[in-house]
Amino acid sequence: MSDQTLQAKAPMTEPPTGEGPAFFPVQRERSSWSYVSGGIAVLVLLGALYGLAANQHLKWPVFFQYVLSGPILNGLLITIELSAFALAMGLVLGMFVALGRMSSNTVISAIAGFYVWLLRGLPAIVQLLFWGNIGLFVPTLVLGVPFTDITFAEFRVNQLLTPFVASFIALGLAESAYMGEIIRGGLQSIDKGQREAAAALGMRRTRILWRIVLPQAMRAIVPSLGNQFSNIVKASALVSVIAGGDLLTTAQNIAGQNYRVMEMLFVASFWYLAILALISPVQHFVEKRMRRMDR
Amino acid sequence: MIKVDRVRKSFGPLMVLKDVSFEVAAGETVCIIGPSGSGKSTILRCINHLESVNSGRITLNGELIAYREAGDRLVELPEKEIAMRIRNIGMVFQGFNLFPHMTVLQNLIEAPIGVKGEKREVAVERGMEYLTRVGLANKADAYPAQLSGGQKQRVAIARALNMEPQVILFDEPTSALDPENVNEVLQVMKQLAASGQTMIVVTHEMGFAREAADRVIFMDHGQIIESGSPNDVLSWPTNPRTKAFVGSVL
Repeated sequence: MSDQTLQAKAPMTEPPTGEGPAFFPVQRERSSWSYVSGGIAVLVLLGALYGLAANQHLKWPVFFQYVLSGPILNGLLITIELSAFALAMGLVLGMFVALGRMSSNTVISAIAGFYVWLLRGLPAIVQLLFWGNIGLFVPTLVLGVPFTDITFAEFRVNQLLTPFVASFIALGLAESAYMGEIIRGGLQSIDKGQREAAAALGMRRTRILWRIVLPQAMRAIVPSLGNQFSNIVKASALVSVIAGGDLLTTAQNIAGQNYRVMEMLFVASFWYLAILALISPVQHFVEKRMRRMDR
Repeated sequence: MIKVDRVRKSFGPLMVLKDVSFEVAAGETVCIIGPSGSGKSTILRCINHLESVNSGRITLNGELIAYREAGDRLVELPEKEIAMRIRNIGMVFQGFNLFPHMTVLQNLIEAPIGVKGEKREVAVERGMEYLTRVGLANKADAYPAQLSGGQKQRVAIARALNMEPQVILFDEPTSALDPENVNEVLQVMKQLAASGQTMIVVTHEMGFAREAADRVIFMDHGQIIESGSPNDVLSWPTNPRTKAFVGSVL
């Protein structure tokens, strides 16, 4: 007891400097199991790759013949265009959906809620088939005032809705429901004090949205754009059901002629994975730029 | 300049302001003190219409701020007209509420340019003057996240000043600060009060109220209990509730 008290009261000598040899440094050891499990994993992987490369039934020359061919590259371009347009359409419409859902007008917020429920609830392939075949029950499209005889223009739906346009509309609309919820989440994550401070400075609602709330909400929205884009790229493969002319449609058309189904699937897969491999670095770059403003 | 006349406000069944009336003259600094839940922040938020009122009139230079008269009733003005009047009333919040995606200077010039339509150079020049006055001219290009609490609040004060408001409302401006940062903010506010800026300050800083206020208002349970010079209210309170409160905080 008296010993401890004495020690506690002993005068401090020099304050510690953090220099010189460390006192009982901790050493980390890797267990021998990690070498065994890592080795097994490498073996399995090599075996699978060898099996693919050496498979008698897979004609690799066919793969290399088509992977850079004109029709395939054209299909790739259509897939990329379709995905980019659908994402853009989803963003713009999604903004309206988000604002509608947050509206204090109950009719508007209910309609926006119904829209999200409908387009998120229906499988994408159902929506694609719907837009691809809409000419069957709406043969003409009339622009005019409802319930009157006033018309401004009339279109034949089948000419207007080519498979590409139908695919674009279906993917874009479906995406707008998801984007709407993402944007709404981003907008609602912004502290109420931000709106109050802006209002106290005399700013009006639209200005507060565009200058104060939305730029901050983008930080929550942008990271999910990369995810959404990769989802759309993959969902765009579904447009082969309405002959959308995309990468998979083209690959399947070629396979229909040369019967090399597997090889053509590999060609398509190669390009899908190539697109997705490009998304990550772009996303990383954009997020890094946006993070400049935090500390 | 500001006249609050029999303002009543309730949140659901709870009445937080019970016919509150007071006036603030141009150049005056008025401190509102009282226990939490007394309605002192709410009356401040009603003045610039962050909260609506149930009844009663709030005027700036004789003009209703967020309402128009329709017979013996008040009707809320359109958003555009409310915004036009509120730009004359600055506000400094407990939680600073700086815009984190803008630099300090951008925070200061956003509203003068976007709301008043000022030229950028004009807004920047005056903004730099106010930043100098609060001692932060060297932080003009910093982002709010790089500042201490005291620095953020001084920027918030400069941001309010750069709109050249007729009156500035302070809602517990030092309550969210670390103790070592409180004084730098109070110093700025004292200078401001001495320079003749009209201010209404909701605060727990009795030292500031005693030193800088022309008048102190004590509120409790949604009512003004006592009002007068700092010396009267803080040193010689007459109402027992004021006595109890002042006794507990000093």
